[in-house]
Amino acid sequence: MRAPPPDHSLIEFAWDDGGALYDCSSGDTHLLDPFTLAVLHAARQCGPTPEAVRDLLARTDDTAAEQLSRIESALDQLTAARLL
Amino acid sequence: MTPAPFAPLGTLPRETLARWLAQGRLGLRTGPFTFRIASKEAIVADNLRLLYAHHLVIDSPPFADFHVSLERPASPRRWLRPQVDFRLDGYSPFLSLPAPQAFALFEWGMNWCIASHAHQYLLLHAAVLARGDDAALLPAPPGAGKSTLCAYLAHRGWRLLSDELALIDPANGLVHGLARPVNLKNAAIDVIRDTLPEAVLNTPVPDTKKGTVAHLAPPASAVAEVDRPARLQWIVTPRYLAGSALHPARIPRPEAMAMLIDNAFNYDVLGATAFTALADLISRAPAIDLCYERFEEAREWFGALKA
Repeated sequence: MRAPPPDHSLIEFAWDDGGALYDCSSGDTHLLDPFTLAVLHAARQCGPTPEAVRDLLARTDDTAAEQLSRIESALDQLTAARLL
Repeated sequence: MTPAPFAPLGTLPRETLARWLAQGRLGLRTGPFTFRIASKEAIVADNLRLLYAHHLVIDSPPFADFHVSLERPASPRRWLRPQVDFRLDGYSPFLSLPAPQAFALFEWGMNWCIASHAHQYLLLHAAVLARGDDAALLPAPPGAGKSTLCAYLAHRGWRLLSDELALIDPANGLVHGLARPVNLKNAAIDVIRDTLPEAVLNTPVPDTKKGTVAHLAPPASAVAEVDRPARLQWIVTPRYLAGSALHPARIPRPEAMAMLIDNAFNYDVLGATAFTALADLISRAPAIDLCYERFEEAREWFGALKA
């Protein structure tokens, strides 16, 4: 359940219905729905550009191709939360 | 000199209890904590005798976690509509309350002492009941019926660890008990009196900030096993809903995590340690919202829980 942190300041738990992250630097806790968590994981692999994230998600999610605006919104939120 | 051993409070002669309290010598053990208590209020002594009969006490403990007192303020309110102050090491965290509310103030003061200081534990505002070594955590907002259901289940096969405070050891996830009285409010008092005729309740106190309150003595068996920690296996948010059929619904983990953080007294104090302890708990223990109307249906549902 507990994933290795992407950097030394984040503790992450991922579940099938969402995830939780703790930023050890700021003390902030972030609770993510499954879609936003998937976007986060994809953005870590391919970079935080909406098209790249869409293409990566489309490998496992047939509906991802039609969700570019939702991906953009999720990326905006993740960036604002300093998770990306 | 070897101090006298702890003994059940109920074995103390009434006069001895009153004297120890008046002289600030009474050490009361509740779970992992010892309170040293000073009070000349008869209502405090009477309620301790009624509700803490099975808890262990000692004369002048060599160590106490909390030194508390309930005393009348040095003002005309000492005599005119007398009031009482709760103090920890001389500090009063609350406003004075009418003297008839002294015992309720004592209970709230004990909660405050633990919630404000016992940061070796992750502290949640929740009831905890155990079956063997498996425990259910019952967080719920005020008025949801948490204490009422907790009181019922504690007299129907479940072991009461706590009605108000869950003490979670972040090192191993075990939850520790206090086995203190259950705080009942308003309509719940008569409901429990009618449903559990064998239960020991004190005299209800009206007009408190929480309405009419009464306290229910923990079962003797719960006090006897208070030092037996348990492992949290279930998170259940009970909600009494008149006319409702029993309805359990799974709470998504992020939502459950948010609820537990909201109910934690010291999440910010413990930081990453608290986050990891709660996320570990959420990972293994299903969180369920339980609407209920009838105690018996809820008891059967709890009885069917599998670890």
